[in-house]
Amino acid sequence: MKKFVKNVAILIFVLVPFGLISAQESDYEVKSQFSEQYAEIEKSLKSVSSTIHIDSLRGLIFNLESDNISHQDLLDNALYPSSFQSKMALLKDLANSVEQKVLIIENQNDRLFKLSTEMTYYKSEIDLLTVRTDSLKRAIANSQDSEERLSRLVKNYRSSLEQRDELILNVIDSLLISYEGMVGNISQENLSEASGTVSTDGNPLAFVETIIDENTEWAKTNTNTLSVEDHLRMYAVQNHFANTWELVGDKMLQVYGGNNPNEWKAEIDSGLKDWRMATSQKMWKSMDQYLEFSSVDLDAFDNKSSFFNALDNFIASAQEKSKTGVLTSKNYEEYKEFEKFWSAKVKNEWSNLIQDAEILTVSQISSIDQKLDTWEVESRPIHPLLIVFIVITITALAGFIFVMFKSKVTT
Amino acid sequence: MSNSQKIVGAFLLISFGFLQACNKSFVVKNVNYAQHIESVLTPDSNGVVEDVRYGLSYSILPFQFEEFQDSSKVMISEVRMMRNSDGFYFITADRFKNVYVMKPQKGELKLEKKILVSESGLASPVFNWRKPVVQLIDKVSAETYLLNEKGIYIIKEEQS
Repeated sequence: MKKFVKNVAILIFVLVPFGLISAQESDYEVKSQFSEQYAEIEKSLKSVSSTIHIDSLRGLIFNLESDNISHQDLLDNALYPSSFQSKMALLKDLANSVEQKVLIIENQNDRLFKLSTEMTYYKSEIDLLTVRTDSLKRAIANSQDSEERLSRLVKNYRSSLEQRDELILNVIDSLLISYEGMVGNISQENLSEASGTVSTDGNPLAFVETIIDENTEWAKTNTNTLSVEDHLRMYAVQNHFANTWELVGDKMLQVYGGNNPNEWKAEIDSGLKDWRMATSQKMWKSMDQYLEFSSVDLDAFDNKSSFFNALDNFIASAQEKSKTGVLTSKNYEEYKEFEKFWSAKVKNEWSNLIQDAEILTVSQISSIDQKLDTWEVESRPIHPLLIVFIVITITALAGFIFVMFKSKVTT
Repeated sequence: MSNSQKIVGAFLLISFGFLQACNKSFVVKNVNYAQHIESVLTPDSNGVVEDVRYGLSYSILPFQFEEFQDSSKVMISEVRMMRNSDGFYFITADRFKNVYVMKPQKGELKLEKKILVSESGLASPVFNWRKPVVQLIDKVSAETYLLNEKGIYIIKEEQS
């Protein structure tokens, strides 16, 4: 009887609390099934590529949790030193972080598609303008027509070239900066992951390289019909492009460089160097020719610092001449020529381009301004009327003294 | 009783009390050895199973010999093992007719009880810990047994 009571007590004690678990169910299987499902979801999360897929996995995570919440004590023991709740929290955290990555990648792919469309548009526009400018260049070269027609052709050619350069600047702003914004959203940690996922159709690096090559070719072959302003603009475009590349290049290489980012980098850097050299030579040469034509005889220059030094030395030596030499209108004429070049061209017509191309800094410009003011004061010749006035004054004063002296003697 | 006998008697009594005091060892009571989840162990080519979590390893071949009278090669794919709160190991495997209740000793497991659970052999046994007993389920026959180190407490036929 005692044994029977004990058996019944055990039955009640054992079976009632575990009523939720089927008698046929093995705790080990519960744990194994949980671990298998967990591993399956974890694996799926790591290879997920769309937010829709993430949503369905979130449903599986929810089911896994709700199906096993009744076995929490068992799983806490089985999963020691981890626990059911901490394992579920890890899975949810993983889902959140994967979702963020996928969102970035999806967003990138969307933007990449839009940018690729934009890139195609720009490419066709540039090609169109190139064809037009080429034909104008040929027309100018072969022109036997009147001066008026030639002048019109040159004007059209320059206008076409200007449009092309503006288009290149637009490409830089809308494409490179957009790409920068796009890859800039990704942390360094996720960059390598993204690089494997982002589609490389219409690789922007190839487009960047094409722009550089085409413009280098342009800079090398353009005719003498271009003005200093045109060359300055081309130099500014190159400068802007190089600065932007410096800003976004490394990240673009990481995302779009595929297996050989270093090769891409070397090619693009070398292309930029060639482009820089071609535009730089042409621009400084045209500037030198212009100054020569304007009778401003600067020392030789072929880069930014030598250009500033030439300007600075020119003013310094002119000032020196003004101080030591006799005040003549020639010195002042020299000042006026230079001032005309400085104010009308550098500080007015070319101002934006000079700033964009970073040819002179603001402090260099203000330094030249100050020296120019001093030179103006020192070189300004005395007005002839002033000399007449001084002579009259001295004569009058001498006459007055003489009269005073004479009247004193007579008295 | 003479005086000398009384002195000897008192001496013996004091000595016995002293010895008793010296022999009293440090003991912690109410230790619970129970595993909450069974260990499912796979024998290696030598028939040795190792429970990494609970730090135990032994050969399954003596059990195999007991069941099949053959220990020439490993015939068991998985060993099921569960420890109850008193520290007894319950060991069985597929096709075993018995559950072996083993008592851990110094460097050995000693048979405490061999519990016959199925004349035809268990097709797919699993253990659960259902305090204070070990539950054995044959997944194929759907028979459930509640065991302790003394034997079967209850046999329950599943309806589902």
